[in-house]
Amino acid sequence: MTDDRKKDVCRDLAQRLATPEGLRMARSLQAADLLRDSAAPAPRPLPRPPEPVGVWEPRTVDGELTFVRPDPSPLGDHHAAVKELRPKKSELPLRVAFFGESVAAGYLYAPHLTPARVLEAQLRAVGGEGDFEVIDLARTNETLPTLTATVRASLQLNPDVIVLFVGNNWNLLETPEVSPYAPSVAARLRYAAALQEGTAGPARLAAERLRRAAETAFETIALMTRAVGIPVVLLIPEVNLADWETRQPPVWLPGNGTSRWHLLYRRALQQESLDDARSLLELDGGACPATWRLLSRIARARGDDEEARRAALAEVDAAVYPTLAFLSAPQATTAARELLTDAARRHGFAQADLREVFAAHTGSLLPDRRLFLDYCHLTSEGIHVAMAAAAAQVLNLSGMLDEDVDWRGLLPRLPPPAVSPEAEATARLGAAVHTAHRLLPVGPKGPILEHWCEAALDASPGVEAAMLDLLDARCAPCPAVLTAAQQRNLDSPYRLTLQHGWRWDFLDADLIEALCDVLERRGRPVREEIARRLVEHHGLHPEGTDLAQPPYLWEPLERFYPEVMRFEDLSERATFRSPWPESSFCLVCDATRDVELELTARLPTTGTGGNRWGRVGVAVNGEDAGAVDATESWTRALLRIDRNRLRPGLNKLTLRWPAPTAEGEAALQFARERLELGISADLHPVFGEVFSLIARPPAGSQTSA
Amino acid sequence: MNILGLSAFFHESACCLLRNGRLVAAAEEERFSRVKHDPRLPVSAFRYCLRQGGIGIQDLDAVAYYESPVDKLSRQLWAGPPEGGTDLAWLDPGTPERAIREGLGYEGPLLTFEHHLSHAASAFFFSGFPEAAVLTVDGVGEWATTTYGKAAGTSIERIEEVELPHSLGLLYSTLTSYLGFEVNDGEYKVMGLAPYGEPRFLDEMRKLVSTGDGGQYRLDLRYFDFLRGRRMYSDALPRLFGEPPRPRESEITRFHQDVARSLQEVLEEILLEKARWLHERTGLPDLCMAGGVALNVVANGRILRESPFQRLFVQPAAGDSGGCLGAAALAHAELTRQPPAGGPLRHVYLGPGWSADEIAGLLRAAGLPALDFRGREAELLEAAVDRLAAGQVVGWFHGAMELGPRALGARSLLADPRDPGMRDRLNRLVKKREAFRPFAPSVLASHAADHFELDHPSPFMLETCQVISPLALPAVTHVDGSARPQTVDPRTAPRYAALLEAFGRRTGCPVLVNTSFNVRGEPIVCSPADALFCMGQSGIDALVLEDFLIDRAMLPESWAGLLPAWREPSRSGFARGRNPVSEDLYTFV
Repeated sequence: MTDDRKKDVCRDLAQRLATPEGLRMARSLQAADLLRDSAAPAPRPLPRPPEPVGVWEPRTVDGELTFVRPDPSPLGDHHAAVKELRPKKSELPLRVAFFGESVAAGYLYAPHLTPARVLEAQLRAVGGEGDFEVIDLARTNETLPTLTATVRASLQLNPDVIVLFVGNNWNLLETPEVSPYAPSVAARLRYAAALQEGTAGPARLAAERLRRAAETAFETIALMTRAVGIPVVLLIPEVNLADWETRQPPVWLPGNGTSRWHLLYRRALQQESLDDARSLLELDGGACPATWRLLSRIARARGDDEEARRAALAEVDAAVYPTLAFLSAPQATTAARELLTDAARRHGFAQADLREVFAAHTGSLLPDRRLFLDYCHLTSEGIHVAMAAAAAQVLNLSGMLDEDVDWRGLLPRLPPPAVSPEAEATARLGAAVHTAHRLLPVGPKGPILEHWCEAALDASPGVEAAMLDLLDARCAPCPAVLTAAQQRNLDSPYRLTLQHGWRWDFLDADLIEALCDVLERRGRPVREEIARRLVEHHGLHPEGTDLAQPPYLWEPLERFYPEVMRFEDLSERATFRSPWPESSFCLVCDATRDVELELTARLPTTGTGGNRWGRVGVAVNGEDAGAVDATESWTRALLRIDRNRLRPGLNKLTLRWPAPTAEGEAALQFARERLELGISADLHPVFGEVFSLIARPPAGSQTSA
Repeated sequence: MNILGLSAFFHESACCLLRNGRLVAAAEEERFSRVKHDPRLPVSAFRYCLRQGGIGIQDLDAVAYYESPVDKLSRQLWAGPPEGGTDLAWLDPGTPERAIREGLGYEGPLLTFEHHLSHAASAFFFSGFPEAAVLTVDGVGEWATTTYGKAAGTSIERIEEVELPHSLGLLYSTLTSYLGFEVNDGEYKVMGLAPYGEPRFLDEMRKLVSTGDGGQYRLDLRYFDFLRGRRMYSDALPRLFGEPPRPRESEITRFHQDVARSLQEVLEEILLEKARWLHERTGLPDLCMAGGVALNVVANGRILRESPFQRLFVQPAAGDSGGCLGAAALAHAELTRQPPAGGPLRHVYLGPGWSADEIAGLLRAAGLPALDFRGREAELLEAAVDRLAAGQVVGWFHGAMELGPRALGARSLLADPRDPGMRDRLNRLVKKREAFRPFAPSVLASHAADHFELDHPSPFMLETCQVISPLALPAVTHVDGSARPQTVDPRTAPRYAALLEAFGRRTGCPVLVNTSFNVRGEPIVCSPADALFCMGQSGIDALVLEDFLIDRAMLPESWAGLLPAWREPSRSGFARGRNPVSEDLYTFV
């Protein structure tokens, strides 16, 4: 073919690909693997020793092979704060290499308290001071491929025992491509194929991929450790069932099921009605974690802890591969626990099941805030008990005791975790911050935030200074790191780092309110001053403040993931889309004059060609404040909020959207067709879309005294 | 009539807004996202343009996109899939429109214009020339890599074009890559390196590219691999020059300087030849230029001096970001049958600005004991001059941010050009960039001819000329005696002009070093917080933030360590293939 002819052919092809039929054809060829790149990627050789162990790079120090990590950033990082690791040379102490995810890394306590240090102290207390050491190779955000690589590299350190504490991260982090929002076209095509089985199809696809990944990882680890004769201990995680809630909306349900679900959900929330909750379950088929949480709450209120536990476990399982693509809170699911148990059985690993351990320790079926700071991270007591279970396994494998020990027998002999009151208080305050950012509860969020703030003050009253700094930073018109509050906090014993949500550019309304409530209760009058600062920096701009912009979202996680946070590899949207019938924003004002709202919004298109019309209710601090019209096209509407409805400082402005009118089957079919073209799609309804929500003082308005 | 111009999805996405034909706002997305050369949908720039224009999304009459996705796809199909690329996302030419409809939420008419036509329009419609010859040169648009045209009124007539694979832009980028710099970023480094070398590889360069009839030229494709390869050049190119490619960040030798010089000479030769031919074809006295190669200021200077054209207008955001200006102008012309209003582009202060009161709030929250000069501009200028005259590097943040790659006195780093150690100091402590790269001067327009061989305004730093100053200006004088001046007019940049005036009064030198307010690898600062981040992470001595002045001693010592830790870019969990899982993601698990 001549070059000119080839160009003509390409022009013609491009025209065809610009049509839905042409693109569908191309995507079908791609899905059938007929458009594969002929050049397979070159195989990558395995690294030659010495290779890095995690972030510890091999160096020669004083003539010895030494693994040295870079200094952590002043705001912390995800690895243990141990500068150097060296290969073991003598028989004693016995060396335990400890691996895992953020739970294992002591999230919110590190570097002051880590499970590895606690385990080491326990082993030494029982086995002898010089007989054990623990190398901490746990890291936040650990996933199976890096875990396997780190275990392999750790063999250079000549460990005697390996302890693995993983399983909470086995969700979207392990299978990011199983999402209708995955950036890869190939992943979307696979997702579309999985959807042929219905909305349960992608969850099955993800579970299957996870199973393969986990089996491969453990087979590799078993091969490596068996080759050098090192025993492996698996800690099977437990999660917070009582205090962690997962609110996600259901995917499109058949017929008008979506509207019915939301109506029922609202009623069920108000009345805690078991019948309503069961109806919800019937409608969503058990795929929606919010329904399970309702059931769990209702059962618990009735005193039926067994049923509450069953529902809470189902909630965790339902949340694992969210079609909404919120990155749900990492919690080990039933499937993850089974994979771990199966790996232990298949490869002869020792194991300790923390579900059994915690239940025996607390006597409760519903693990709660006593052992958990949040969804899966442990309190110092939780770390103590979990490590006792690990210590028992390690001691039994070590052959250094005359007879096997059980964790129950061991626990009274173990020293309590050495954590300072300041570190304890900082971790608890961190729990409040992290919970404020990550919890989408079915019930109210305030009580659990206040619990952690109170608990922090109980641990060390001096943490009040960190709370005030946190409030200061959140009120500031700039990133927290630039504030004077950051400088003060940095020099204090209550240093807040990245793990404590320091890098957070949203207004953090729930946290501000909880901190103010708790401090006021403790006799520290802060509310007025915080309101003043909020107004100073976030009050109404004379030209208007756009409340639809990220800093002002009351619940940032309600913005659809992946747009919920800013990522370098994903484009954002210019609009806010509400996945719930209500969406709330932070309105900051001094309440001395009325506020004019200018809402530019639209309702989701029905695809029927008509232009739907609806009323959007507006509420301020929970009270109705009026309604405006909206259609499927952008409509600008004005509403005046009387100053008497407002309070100085933070006000919660809520938009209440009309119910979606689309049929669930048609909406899901539409989504699947998009995915088949390689285009991302929503599997759930959008209730309303906001381009801007401008709040401003009305022209010529007077300030009242 | 409200028209939004948009360029995106290759590098440096941007938006602009034309209101009744007047350019009222324009900005690159990278300034907001803080991701250098950000190619993503320009969400923040879009919202900024509407806000600045005082309009809502429903008030837009049209969105104009800067290239034809279908034609681009035809070229991509012809070139074949990139090696190793298996995802085939690029097969869907509907992606840009879908992003505009769904990502921006735009519902109205969407007009699409050809890439080089957008470049041509961006130059002609903002030149103020009633008619002009138009030359656009870049790596590639859809098919065209170079176009020649003639424009008048609302029409731009294309006379001839060069199609891929023959491309002066890709020639330059290929050698940029061979010389160890990043493609689409390091081209101006090669230009800066060239004067250090000798043109001893002209024969080799002429093997790579040969000129042809009319506007044509050809690359010898045996030396290139940019169509499908993982790198820009084939193995034949290093063989031709007899040296392996330079690894990134490695030592720059005489060889690299000579290759850069030879490349620059050949580029200038060809551009001059084609400019002469274009003049012959059009018979017009004025030339407009755009496209990434039009940012080669050395070539621009030669075209102006040595071609028959009498006037040259280079659109200041000549790269792809500026394509949005042309698309918007074309849409305006199509919809109104009128060229855009507003006459020649006199400045590019089209981005966001911050009031002194907003900055006061920020400084209070930061606890910085900044000096407050609100209502005392003359004293502020004298305080800034105190520091400049004392050899300090001063960050200068004032008014609306510039569009385009050049800092022009709104987001600038300033210094005394007479200081022989200033170039090294700026490079070492502040810019953290290669030592060989020259800095540009700003000069009061009224004094420009006293210091530079320049007989016309050069407000956008888009041409070089010889330094003829009676003063020694080592910090802005390149090794070949040239400089790339910005002439500052008090009508468009009153405070900056007043600063130059004050510096001139104090020192006898109405010239300042003016380099962009950023550190290596980061976009130019946009907001006051960005300016503080930049100062905190670099060796800037003082910062003028609108009416406030901050000395380095006022900054907390801890910022140097803290700020870099804060600004690590966030990547989603989806980015695992490129990055270990979400190292910087605040979803700790």
